Amino acid sequence: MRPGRPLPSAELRGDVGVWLSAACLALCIALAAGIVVVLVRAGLGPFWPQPVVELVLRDQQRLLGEIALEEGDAWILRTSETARPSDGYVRVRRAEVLQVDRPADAWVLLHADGRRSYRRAAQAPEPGATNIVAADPRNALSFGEKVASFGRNLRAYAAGGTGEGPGMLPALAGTLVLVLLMSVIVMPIGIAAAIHLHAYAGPGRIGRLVRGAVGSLAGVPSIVYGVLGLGLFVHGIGGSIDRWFYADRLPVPTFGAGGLLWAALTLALLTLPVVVVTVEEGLARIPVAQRLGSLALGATQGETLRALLLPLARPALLTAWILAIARAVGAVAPLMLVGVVKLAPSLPLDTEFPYLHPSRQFMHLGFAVYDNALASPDALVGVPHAYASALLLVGLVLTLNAAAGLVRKRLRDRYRAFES
Amino acid sequence: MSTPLTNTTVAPRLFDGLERIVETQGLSLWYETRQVIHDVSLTIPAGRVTALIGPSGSGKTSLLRCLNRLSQEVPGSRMHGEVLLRGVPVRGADWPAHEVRRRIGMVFPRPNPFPLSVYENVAYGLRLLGLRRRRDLDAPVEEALRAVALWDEVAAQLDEPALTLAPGQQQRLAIARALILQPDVLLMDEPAAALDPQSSLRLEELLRQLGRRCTIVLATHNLQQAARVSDFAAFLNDGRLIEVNDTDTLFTNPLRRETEDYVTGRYG
Amino acid sequence: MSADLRPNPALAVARLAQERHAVRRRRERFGRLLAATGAAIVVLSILVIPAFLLFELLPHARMPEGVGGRFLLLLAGTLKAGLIAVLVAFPIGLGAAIHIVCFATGRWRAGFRAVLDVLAAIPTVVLGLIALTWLAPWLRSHVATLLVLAAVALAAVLVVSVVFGRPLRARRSWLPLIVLPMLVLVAGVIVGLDPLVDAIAVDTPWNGLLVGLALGVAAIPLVCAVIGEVLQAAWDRHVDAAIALGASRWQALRSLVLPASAPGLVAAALLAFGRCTGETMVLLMASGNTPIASLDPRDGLRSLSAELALSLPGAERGSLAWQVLLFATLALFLLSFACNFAAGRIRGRLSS
Repeated sequence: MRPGRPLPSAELRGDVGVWLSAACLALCIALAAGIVVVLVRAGLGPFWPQPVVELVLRDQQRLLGEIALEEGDAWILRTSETARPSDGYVRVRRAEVLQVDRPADAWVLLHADGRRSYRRAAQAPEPGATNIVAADPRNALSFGEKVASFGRNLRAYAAGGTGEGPGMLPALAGTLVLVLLMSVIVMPIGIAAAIHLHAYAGPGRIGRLVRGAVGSLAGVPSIVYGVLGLGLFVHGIGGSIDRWFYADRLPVPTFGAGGLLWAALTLALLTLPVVVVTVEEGLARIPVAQRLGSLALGATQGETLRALLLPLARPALLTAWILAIARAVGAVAPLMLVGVVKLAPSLPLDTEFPYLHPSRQFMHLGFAVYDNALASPDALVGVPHAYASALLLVGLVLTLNAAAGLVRKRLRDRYRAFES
Repeated sequence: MSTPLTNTTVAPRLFDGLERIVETQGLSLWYETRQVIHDVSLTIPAGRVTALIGPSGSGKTSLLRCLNRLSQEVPGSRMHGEVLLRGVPVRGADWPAHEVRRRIGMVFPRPNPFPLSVYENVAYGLRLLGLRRRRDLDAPVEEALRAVALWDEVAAQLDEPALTLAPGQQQRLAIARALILQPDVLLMDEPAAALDPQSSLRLEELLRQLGRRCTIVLATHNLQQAARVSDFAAFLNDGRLIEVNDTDTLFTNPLRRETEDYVTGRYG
Repeated sequence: MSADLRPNPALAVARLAQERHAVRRRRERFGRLLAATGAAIVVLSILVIPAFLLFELLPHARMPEGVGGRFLLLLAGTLKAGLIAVLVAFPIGLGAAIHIVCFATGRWRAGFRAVLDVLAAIPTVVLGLIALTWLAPWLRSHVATLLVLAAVALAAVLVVSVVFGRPLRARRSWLPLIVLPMLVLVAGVIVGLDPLVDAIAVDTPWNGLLVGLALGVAAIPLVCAVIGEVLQAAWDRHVDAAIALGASRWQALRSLVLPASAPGLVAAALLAFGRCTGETMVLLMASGNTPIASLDPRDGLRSLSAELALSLPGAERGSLAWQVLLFATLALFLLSFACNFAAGRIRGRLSS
């Protein structure tokens, strides 16, 4: 069907089918948009200054605080924390509440040890003995001030200085270092294999074998790669390395436990098919006339590749890299087996020699999502962390995919210049 | 599997006194199971322009590609028979494929300049041979561009992308690209096919000039072009070599009925 | 007479070429070796996975009592999750693919494809998060509401299709954008009304239904892409002839294109099934990880992949638990491989 060719308007009989298929697509749009909206609201929402409420209960009790959660017929109210952070949560049945106020003189106070307290006062309380770090007249803030507060909260969280957790920087850093190390491993191998398929193997038996292998690799579940990583790399190779080189440190493992290197290796296997397929596709798109022209001037296959084809395929190489990173960033399951941790004692990349420590454990953005959602001891704090990490993760992946799409478009335009 | 010897009519004593620079002996070519060239024994004389004429699909391109071993780049192709360059088999152990292709240059029907500058396009082949520095390359590049009458037109734009040139210029660039390697033979596969009539005529003029000091094999379906440019002509039909003669005789007084039918336009 | 362009050849190319022969041959061989090494690593990798698993497992001949039963429970859980997911993803993916291929044109098509790409890009851990924290609490008491919602939405679309009939050619491409607010409205009304709360008793919020929905959403882009490919090929082949005979697009679709693509649809379902059974994060977060085998979607399940993620870090190498888990890995690998292989064969036969 040549798109755009006008058809008689009476051809849309079978309206039900048309509407139903449109409904399915509408559902997909709703899902995609809905997920993004949920992520943004739940991820950024906690940073927006919430109003402070005062609840008057049936038994004349007055509670001052922020509503943290609405659970069925009850509210979870966060009141002043006395001994430690997060020890002031109170569950209040809605039926018990007579009145809800938003007093204009309510203050939210942040203490040096991370505790929060709520107070009603005519003016800002003094820092004094209770080590108040910050105070804001929550209900009296203008919109502009709320936006400023929002920005401050975001920045503080990202840098990790809220006292409620490590923030996002270590997880992000861990993810980036991991992905970079993986790229160093997977790109050369993938490009080599793609070159072999394009220039040397062709459609023969070996070509079919390699292509079959690539296709099969693409279908392997990611957790299986994790098992391989754990069994073969960590225990097998890592254990051997420990026995040969670090025997004096045993039984404390150096390379015999999960770490950055094994994780990078595992992810490299996982993303290998993506790189091979994308690069081969890029090479195949180059007009045959270019290759023949080079050969006709007395170049060998390798020289043709180096001088002509690979430079021409640069956008494809870039796309392959971006797509591999996008796939790796979202793969959490295998990492759970080969070295990701909730809280790493130190970054795998720092200023002490040799600067990159491939045997160290690391943190990862995707794992932070899982861990905060499930394993956090305080669900009320963990879930917002999870959403914040998830928002960052999705933002990262979508940006990468968009970048790959742009590069692909440039590739198409470049080849169109050839045809004309 | 082999077909009987084709009945090729070659005018007697045609190449007396000329060096037989390229010869094919019983050349046959298959793409998978389809045979495209049947037992062709062709002689190319040195220092002359030899035209390969015949209807489209008669195997002209395939024959040319056998000469510089480019046919082996097509997967599933098989070749029988010999191709000799100055008496040495091109598929033998003396030269690897890339050396054969340096000695037997080729120009394609559609100009295929590389996405590099004009200078780099011409210098491409020399760079493969290890010449790196501009001052070593400058002189040969200028020589080659002068030889194809392109120097005056592009001297100010040597570092511009070659794709910005007009098709006629691009085709001359392709010839320069091959000439810089000092080939023994230059194969031209329908070089004017993608050009407008004016550029086409300019190209023919260039071929006539080059032909005086270089061996050229020109495959073309344009009979007038062959008549204007070539010294000898070989008529190919359906993968079989029918007749070889000097151009004037082939066109005015062909020895075979098939040839006469073709050159008088009865088919093709 | 060679093509000697200068009276005095200062640059003898032939000699230059001769001198470089050896170096170039060496370099070419080295390059081929590098490329072949890359290809060899690829082939080695796919062989190493089952080889390693078998290598670790073979010395230990027998599996003791009780382990086999647990394994079957996990397998049942995995299959159940995959099945529900495919049941959710297939119709939606099919409908979306039909619209993109047959009824949308030009930039709308690219736009819709981009939306599906967005859906595909969302990491499964994020889907698991949303399922766990946002959907699960609601779904626990609102299973019946969800069913009502689905039924009402379907009915609404049917009614509208009868009432408004054939969309004009101009509106055909962006029809989904007209249906979208309608669906949102219906959803808003139903959820607001909150009918039949707790009508269907559900023991645990983390059950097969939740997992199926989340996994299904994850699988929709894959189904849509594969079916889209198959449909496009069949559409290009048949539609001109059909239109020439006076058939409408829908008639062409129903009578010619869909039957011709039927094997492709099966392949798409198989691929989605294989992908879902291999999924880990959603299953880990939303399935409840309770090892029961029951056909009831309201019950939880525990999948092979979740078991691996949970138990493997703590298992000691060579121990019994280790062997069992490796066996589970092998099963998972073979399951995915079989699905992909079968789907590949079907698609191969289609394109020939």
